[in-house]
Amino acid sequence: MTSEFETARALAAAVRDGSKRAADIVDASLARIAARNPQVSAFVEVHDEDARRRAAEIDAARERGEDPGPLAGVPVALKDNYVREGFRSTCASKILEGFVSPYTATAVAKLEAAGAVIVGRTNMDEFAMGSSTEHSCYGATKNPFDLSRSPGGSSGGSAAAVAARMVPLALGSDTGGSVRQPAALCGIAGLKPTYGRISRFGLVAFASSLDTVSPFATDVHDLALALSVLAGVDPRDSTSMDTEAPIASVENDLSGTRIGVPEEYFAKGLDAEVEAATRAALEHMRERGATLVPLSMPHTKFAIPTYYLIATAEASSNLSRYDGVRFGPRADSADDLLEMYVATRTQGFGPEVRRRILLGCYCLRQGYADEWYVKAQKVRTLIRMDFDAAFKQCDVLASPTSPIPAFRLGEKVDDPLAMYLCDTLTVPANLAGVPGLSIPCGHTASGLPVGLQLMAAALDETTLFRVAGAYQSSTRFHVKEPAL
Amino acid sequence: MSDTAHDDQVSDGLDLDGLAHLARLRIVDPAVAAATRDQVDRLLGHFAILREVDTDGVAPSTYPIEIQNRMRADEPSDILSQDQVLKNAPQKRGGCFLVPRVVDG
Amino acid sequence: MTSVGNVPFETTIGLEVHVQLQLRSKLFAPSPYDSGGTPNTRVSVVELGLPGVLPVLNREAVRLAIRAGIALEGEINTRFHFDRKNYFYPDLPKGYQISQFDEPFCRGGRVPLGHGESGEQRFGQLERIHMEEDAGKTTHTAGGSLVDLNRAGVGLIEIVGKPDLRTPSEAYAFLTELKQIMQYAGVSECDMEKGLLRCDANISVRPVGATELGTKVEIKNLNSFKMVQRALEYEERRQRAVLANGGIVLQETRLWNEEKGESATMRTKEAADDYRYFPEPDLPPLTIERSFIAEIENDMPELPALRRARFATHYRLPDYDTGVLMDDRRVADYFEATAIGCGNAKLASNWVMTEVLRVMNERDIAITVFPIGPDRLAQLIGAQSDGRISRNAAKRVFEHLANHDVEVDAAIAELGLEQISNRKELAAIVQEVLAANPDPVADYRAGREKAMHALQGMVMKKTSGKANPQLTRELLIELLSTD
Repeated sequence: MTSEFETARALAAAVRDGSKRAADIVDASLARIAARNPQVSAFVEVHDEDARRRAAEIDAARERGEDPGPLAGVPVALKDNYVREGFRSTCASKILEGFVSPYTATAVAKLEAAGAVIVGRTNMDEFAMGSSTEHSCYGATKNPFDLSRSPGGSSGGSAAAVAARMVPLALGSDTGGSVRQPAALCGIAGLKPTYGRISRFGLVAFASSLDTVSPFATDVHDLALALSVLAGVDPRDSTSMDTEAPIASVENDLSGTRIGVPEEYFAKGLDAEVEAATRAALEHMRERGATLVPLSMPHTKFAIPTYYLIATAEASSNLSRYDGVRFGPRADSADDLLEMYVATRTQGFGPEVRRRILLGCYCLRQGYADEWYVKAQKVRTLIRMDFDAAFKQCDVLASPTSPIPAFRLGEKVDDPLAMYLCDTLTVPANLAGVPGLSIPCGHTASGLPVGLQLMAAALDETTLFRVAGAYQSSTRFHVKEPAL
Repeated sequence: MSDTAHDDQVSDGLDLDGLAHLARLRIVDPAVAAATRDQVDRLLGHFAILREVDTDGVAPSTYPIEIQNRMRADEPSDILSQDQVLKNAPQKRGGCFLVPRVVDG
Repeated sequence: MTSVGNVPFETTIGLEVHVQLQLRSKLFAPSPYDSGGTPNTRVSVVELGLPGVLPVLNREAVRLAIRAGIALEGEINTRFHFDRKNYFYPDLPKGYQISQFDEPFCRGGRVPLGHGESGEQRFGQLERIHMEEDAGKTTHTAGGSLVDLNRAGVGLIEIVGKPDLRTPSEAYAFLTELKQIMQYAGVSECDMEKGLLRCDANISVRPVGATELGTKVEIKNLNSFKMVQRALEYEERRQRAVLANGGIVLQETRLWNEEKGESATMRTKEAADDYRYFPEPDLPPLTIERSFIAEIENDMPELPALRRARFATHYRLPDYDTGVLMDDRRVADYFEATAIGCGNAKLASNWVMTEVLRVMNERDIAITVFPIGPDRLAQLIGAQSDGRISRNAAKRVFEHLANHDVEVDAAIAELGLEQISNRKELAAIVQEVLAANPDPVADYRAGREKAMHALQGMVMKKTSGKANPQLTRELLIELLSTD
């Protein structure tokens, strides 16, 4: 099937040189959304009017001779946990129903300043807690490659929006794999930059030391373009790094590249087809000049507990502000304050969120914090040291992104532990703060996408792009679109 | 199935009611409470694997990257109007947020 | 140490003081800091606790906090971080307060308390000082509680005193000294009435010789230093009475009721909240260079001990004057400007201590809004010491200046108080008076000094009080002796 779909960079170039109008591009995107979203449920809200108005502004600016920006006219979708002045953001939660933000997230403002057109907000697991986009007050999003299956999560809506070619770019957030895993399950590219690369100001916090603003695109070049627009220190985010933004171009040379293959990421439990596709990808790169370096990252098996203890602890605190006092719906039963808090929060949060808040409170409790929270932070140091040691032996690490391809909707939603194990291969990069991306490297026999994960040392997105770019320049997996 | 031996070690202190109160949540339905306790127990049982790790002399990592001393100048800049502050408020009165009376005075 | 019945008791008091840092914006938010104002008009998205917001530390707050630590002789930690203190309250928007738990920026320190019984200098030792953000204000009404977030996010330092104060009056001394040091260091004006300084006290009592401290009772709702002293005195009596009667003092928090002059149990609080402290992940740690601390030491404004010494040696002021003038640094500054302006420190001191402070008290205003600036007062003092106006006239001019914004000369003219100091002019008037009053003249010549006063009085009356008194006396003596 030939698609009239074009990459973000092609669209922007066309708007900048006048061969296309932003208005037409946005119209086409809105039409595809209208046609496909009913099947996929990627978007929870589409901003038709605002998007058209913005597109017209960009066309007018271009006609006046102004530079419309590196993402001029590019339709972009935002995960429902980014705030935007005058628009609703709910994090797919009832507790934020009706909330309209008076300010805009820095990442969003940068996209808009670059000429991008925000077309709507996408579905997610509530407060980014989940790996399937089923824990949402709006219902589940479907995987465009198989509508009976999950697109992954928590950024499943944004992933599906790009996979179904409704938009070329979408923002998600990656705290434990929430962009890389859906990218793998939906056959697209997803990037988790180095922690601190992109400002978190305006990204609703789940786990502060792990959350990362992360884009989806159909290929690596578009990811690099997005990163060059989004990156940069922000005086409103004390954890954002003051460092040079990576360049947007991508080289395609693998010769001399050492690709580390950590044995712990290929442990039992890995789906056979996923493993086969991943190993084939490694072989493909070796044939093109890379050296494969087997190595060990011995603390990998502790990554899930470490991640969940830290993430739930931080989340239990970050979510205390949802109390019905200043915003959000308030339970009307209440005569007294305590009852108001308890009723509002119990009714407003879904079961997964409540479970994680309880877990988080537990591991921070006086008397237990040392054994659980502090212990986890120490193991985190060891996991980071594993990465430091690995990068002395290689330029980039490679592994499958997800141990399994897209699972059926409903299959894991009642088994929290099973759901958590979906993140086994992605959480280590969040714990260490290093950048990672996922690109398509194959399909299962039934046509489900498989993703290859690459990880690099902190701030070395350039190497990630180079290796992924080389792989994509000699493969066609990322071009395959779902049959919708 | 949960590992019973593990359970005894892990869930001392799993005072679900106390936790719920700390988090201002409530679990009314006893069946749901039991299921929640079970799930949390099981998760903690899985997480207890961390006890195997020797972390003697290892410093905890609160921050994934090395940043220090990020500060701003003492300049007042941002301010919302009273309307904007109260815009999303479920209940307000006299320019303030209104909540049910606090009992402990 | 006093006793109830036959058992001597000793008292142990510790104070916990929150001081608002004098900043233009809040500690972690870029909104303006000023007290008061219409509710919820000094709020940014950050301290409102909206989804997605992040804290950013105010550099000047760190400077002021360290300055406070140095002024209180504490040890500044060269590495520290912030922690979250988690609890729910309507005026705590995020559901946690950003504070410091196990790594405060300052450890130790002390506050001078004056001299003890044996003449030795006593000190109230400090445990630690840390930085934290303030909460908003909740007002309780019958129909519900009202939350104003103007104060939310304001920068505070919490000064934790060791429980080593022995009497309620030592507690009072601790607070007045602390306030003075903070004022002089430019850290905070410490007006308790404006909420710039808040204090909770804890007190325990035990029989003399007992090795363990008695049960600690915490007292809240203390709104002035005197109130702190009164509340502690009450509590001390109460606890001693309980113990003397064989009872047990309950560990609790009590609210002071100033009207009734007694403390009462706060409604039973739940078991102490578990604050689940953990390091604030949104704020990177701080490493303070020694050079930064040295810079702050060098920039330290003149602290009370130094200024006291300077007032004694440079201005030769008696201790009493110094004590009164220095009570509020702004008054001391005002005094100095006046003294420099008129060149006479003692006169300046007298005027400030008597007239200026009197009007301030009458009108219940601070020196910062006093209607007569130090320059103008200096001019007034100069006019008096030059002899242009008499002392009584000066007082009248002062009153006039306190109600009208006019120059000293204009005031003198308006009131027609220009003293007659021209020798020739006054001599003529004196002559007239002498000529018109032969009896007092005769009395004086007969050796009755009192007649001099009468004659002076007559000259004053004739000149409507404008005659220069010294010159009048001089001329009277001169003219009365020449005849």
